[in-house]
Amino acid sequence: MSPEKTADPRRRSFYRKLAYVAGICLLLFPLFVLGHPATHGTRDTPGRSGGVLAQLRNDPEHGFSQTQLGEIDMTSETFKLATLGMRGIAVQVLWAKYNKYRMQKNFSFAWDLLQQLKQLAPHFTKVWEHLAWDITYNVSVAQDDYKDKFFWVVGGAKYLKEGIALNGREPRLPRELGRFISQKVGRADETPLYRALFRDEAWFQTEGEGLPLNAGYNEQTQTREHLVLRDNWQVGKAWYREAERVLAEYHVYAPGLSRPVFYSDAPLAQMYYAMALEKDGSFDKVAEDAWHTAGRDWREFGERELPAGDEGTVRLNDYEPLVQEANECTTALDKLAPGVRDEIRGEKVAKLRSAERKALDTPADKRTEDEVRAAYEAQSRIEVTNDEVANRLAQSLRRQLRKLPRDSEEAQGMERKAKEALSLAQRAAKAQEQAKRIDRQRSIVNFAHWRLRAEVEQTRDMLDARRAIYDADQAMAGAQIAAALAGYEKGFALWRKVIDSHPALAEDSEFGYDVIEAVNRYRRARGQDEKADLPQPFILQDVLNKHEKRR
Amino acid sequence: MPIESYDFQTFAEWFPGAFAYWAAVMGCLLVGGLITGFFVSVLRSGPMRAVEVVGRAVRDLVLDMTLLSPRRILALAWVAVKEAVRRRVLVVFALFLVLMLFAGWFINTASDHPERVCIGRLVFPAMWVLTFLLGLFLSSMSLPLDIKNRTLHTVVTKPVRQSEIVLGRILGFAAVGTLLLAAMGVIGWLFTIRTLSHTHTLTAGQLKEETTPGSQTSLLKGKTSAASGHQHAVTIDASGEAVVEMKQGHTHDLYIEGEGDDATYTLEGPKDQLVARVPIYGKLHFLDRAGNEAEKGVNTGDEWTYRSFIEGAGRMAAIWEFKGITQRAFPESEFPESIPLDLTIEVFRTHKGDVSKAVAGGLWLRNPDTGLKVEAQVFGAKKFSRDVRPIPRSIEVFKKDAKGKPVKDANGRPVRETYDLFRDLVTPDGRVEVWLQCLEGGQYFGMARADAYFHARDASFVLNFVKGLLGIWMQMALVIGFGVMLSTFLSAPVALLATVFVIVGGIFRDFIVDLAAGKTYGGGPWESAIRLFTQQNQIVELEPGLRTSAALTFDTIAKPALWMISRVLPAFGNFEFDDYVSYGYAVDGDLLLRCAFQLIGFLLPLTVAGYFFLKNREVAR
Repeated sequence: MSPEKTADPRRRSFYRKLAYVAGICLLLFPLFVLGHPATHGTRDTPGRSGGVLAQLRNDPEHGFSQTQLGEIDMTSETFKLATLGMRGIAVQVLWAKYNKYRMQKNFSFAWDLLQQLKQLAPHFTKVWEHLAWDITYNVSVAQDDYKDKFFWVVGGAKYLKEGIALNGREPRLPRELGRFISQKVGRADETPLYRALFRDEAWFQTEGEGLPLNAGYNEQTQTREHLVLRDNWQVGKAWYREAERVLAEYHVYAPGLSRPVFYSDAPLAQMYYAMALEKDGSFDKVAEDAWHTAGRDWREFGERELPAGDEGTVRLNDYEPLVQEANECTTALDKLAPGVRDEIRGEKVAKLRSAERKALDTPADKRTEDEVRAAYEAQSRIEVTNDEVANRLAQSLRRQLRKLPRDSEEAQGMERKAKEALSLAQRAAKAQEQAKRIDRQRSIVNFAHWRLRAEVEQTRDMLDARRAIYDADQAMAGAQIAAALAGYEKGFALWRKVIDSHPALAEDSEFGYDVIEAVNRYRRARGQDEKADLPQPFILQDVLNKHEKRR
Repeated sequence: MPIESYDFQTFAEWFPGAFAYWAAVMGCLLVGGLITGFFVSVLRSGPMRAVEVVGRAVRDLVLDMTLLSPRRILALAWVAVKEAVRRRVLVVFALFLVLMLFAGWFINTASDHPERVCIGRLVFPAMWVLTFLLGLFLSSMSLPLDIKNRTLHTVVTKPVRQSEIVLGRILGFAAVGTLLLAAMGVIGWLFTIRTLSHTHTLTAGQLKEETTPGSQTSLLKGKTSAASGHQHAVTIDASGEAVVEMKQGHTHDLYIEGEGDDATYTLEGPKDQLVARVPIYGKLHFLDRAGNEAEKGVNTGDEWTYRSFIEGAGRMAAIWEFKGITQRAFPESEFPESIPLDLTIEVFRTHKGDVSKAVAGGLWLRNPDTGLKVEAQVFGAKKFSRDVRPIPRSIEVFKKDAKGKPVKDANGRPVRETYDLFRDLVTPDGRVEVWLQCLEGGQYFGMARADAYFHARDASFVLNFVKGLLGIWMQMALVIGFGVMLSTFLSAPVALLATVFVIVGGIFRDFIVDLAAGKTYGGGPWESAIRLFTQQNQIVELEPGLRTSAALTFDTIAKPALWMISRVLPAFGNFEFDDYVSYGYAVDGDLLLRCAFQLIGFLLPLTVAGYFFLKNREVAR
């Protein structure tokens, strides 16, 4: 074999290797552009934003970086590393142990396992939610001593607070915390005892940094502040506001989170705070201010743009103006077309079956079940819409127009009238449609009731009425019957005054319930059972009649 | 958490039955082995030759197991030790040190009982894992590697019995493990003491004077500074006697110097945190609603049926019969006023009642011989916590006639009478009954046998800690025994895997027993596999069909196999004493003895099996 031929394979191999090295060097450039890390700046040199991937990761819009989820816990990272990729198995084993300890009521060990679980799964919000709820609602209830129960309620809340620090962009966690603190403490059988314990700061002390659980919230700056709150509803409200801030700041995609309910949490917590003050016997300026704040919060809630599913956004306070607009359009239309509505209705009534007509003619309280159904169907069939009135008017005007010269003033006047009628009908329909959309959202949060409640409860008469009833209850508990009777009667008189100035209150079922309960206690004070007749004329008989039947 | 004394059997009660069972199993295995060997020999060499072979095997076994040379065994053990050191087993110790350095990150000192976390969740589990790993790798890989590298040839060519080789390996590796465990134990002990050690400060400014309603005396009340996530409430009476609240299972001694605003208050380190209680348990039985004897109480629907419940304001009662309650066990010098009865009660309310008050319960003492029954005390039940009920040495009650009506004196005042605990209520041989009843209608008390005991004395915590280490040591010895035995006939990786299976099987032995008995939800292995892959839960019935029928059939076949496997697997849980140590209960000698005999019961047949397998391997013959 010739020397050139033996040298060739080696040279080819050398050239191949050169080509590989050249290719690697070329690839380094795009790799650098894509992957070089971001760096922090120092005093002398500015930091760098890094390659494409680093920029994407740190972009607030994408939020891929772990630092954007929340704080990073070094212990947690070490723990995860130490499992050598078997984190999932470790979590499963721990969870199975946790369930076993829970079953055996070994809450100390179960609590310690939670500390390990949180380090292994720090960014699974459902884990935090579930475990904190389990502690607050299930472990607490398994205790007998109310102090032990409170210990676990606060324990679950503190646990969830740690999760909030690690998941700073998740609004559900602070919201859940708000719910635990406000509702679990404020709506339990042990509430009076819990609220007394809540005032002791020692329950909320934590070692290390950070504000305690019961820190206040500055609504101006939208930050938590070094102000200790001693009421569970206020603390709950602070956490609800924090949840709102997180949702607004990070534009979090939160499917399944009903916005009307979400934004009603904070104002409702304020309302419950005011009610709790009254239950504790406070009816002075503090309670008045609390209701005043509640009313303001509810108004602001009503002004908020809320998504309404596929129907765009709505503002709950817009309902009444829209209804008024619809009514004004209807009235104007009826002025334009006097008698047309009745005429159409008459035609529709004529088309009804005799049974339906009979049902309609029978007074509502005397109808049988079939007649109620028949009357309901008949009523919907004889309903005359604004469109029908406008169209009928337009048709009638067009018939008249044929007989008139087109250019005549009369003809033009008729044209304008027809157009106006159709426009009024359209505006009324649009306003009604929007009002219906808003009403659907309002019904989710019982908007009208709470607005009325806030408006009425802050009045001096209502506060005095509540105080009188409270004093009467206290007198009853102390077997001072005469004082109790006087208190109830004073309270009822004040309620009458409030109802006369706010007639809608008489329709409110919650208020009706309060009245019935107070009247029953009054009856007991008079030595009667609940069904005995009250002295007539009873000042609140109309309210009783309305609501006792409903109950 | 119930810490039970292992079915409450003494060693003397346990041993005969256990030995008989063990002898039966060993006998079956031996006979089964001989028969199998006989048939294999028959197939190889015919029946006459088979008898000769089996006979020689039995003779060699007897000789090799009885004519052991301790000197040779020790020499082989020393070789095993040197080999282990050459394999850098000290890395394990280094790992443990590193773990302890960073372990503080994982300890929550604000926990309810930090000693339980420190000992039971960190120190002992860390030692357990490391010694297991050590035993696993050393024992399962040593012999196969020696055979592969032919270093074992230099041993078998000497006048050494195979039984001595097996025993030497086991002893050698056990010695290495013992040394390392001892070193880790010391480090673990120091870590525990250091982690739990803390104190608080108290200044005059933290105390406020409070007057007890209806009393002329005033008390100083306040709270100590926070440390390790807790504070203690402090009460100081006019005479200077201080009571520091029990918190997280401990208290502190408080020393006061000076008076008034100039007084200085010094708190010592934690007290009663690391203890080893020696309980005297009794036998528990119940009275039902009609007042008749019953083995169990009522089930209130709790998923965990460990405790039985008694109904309140009725005839239901829980009765413990104690023995050994003598003056000697409770000398007056140490227990001048009362003897402590530790009680743990579960409370079940069918209605809330007054949530600010505990449910009332009553304790009575009854002499089983004379029938004299006296009310010792009425108390508010504390749920989920150990409640120390002092049983007075002298009990004063209102005298009652035969019909239970109070007896009155000439002035119409009720007559009182006094009973001495040891003279009137405890029999001469130390027996007494303690009756517990719930006094509120609609409420229930739940209890198990271990929920009431007389706390006679505290043993040494250090000794208890060592006993806890002994438990780990025995488990490690079991792992070594299995590892060496399996390595006599399997290659290194296979022996390693097989030993891992033994460990896992031993840890989950109770589960395997339940599985074999059909007591688990979700069926046997095949049915569970179907449920896993089809994502069905454990309660729903499987759809009838060929697949389900096949799975159920296979499971039925698997159950006897699982049962047999569970009989030869060691129950590692029986050797775990870390709960005793962390919960502060002394590991009693009977329990240690039982575990030691169980260990011997495993090691003996493992040695014999290892001997047989090694003997039958063709190693340098």
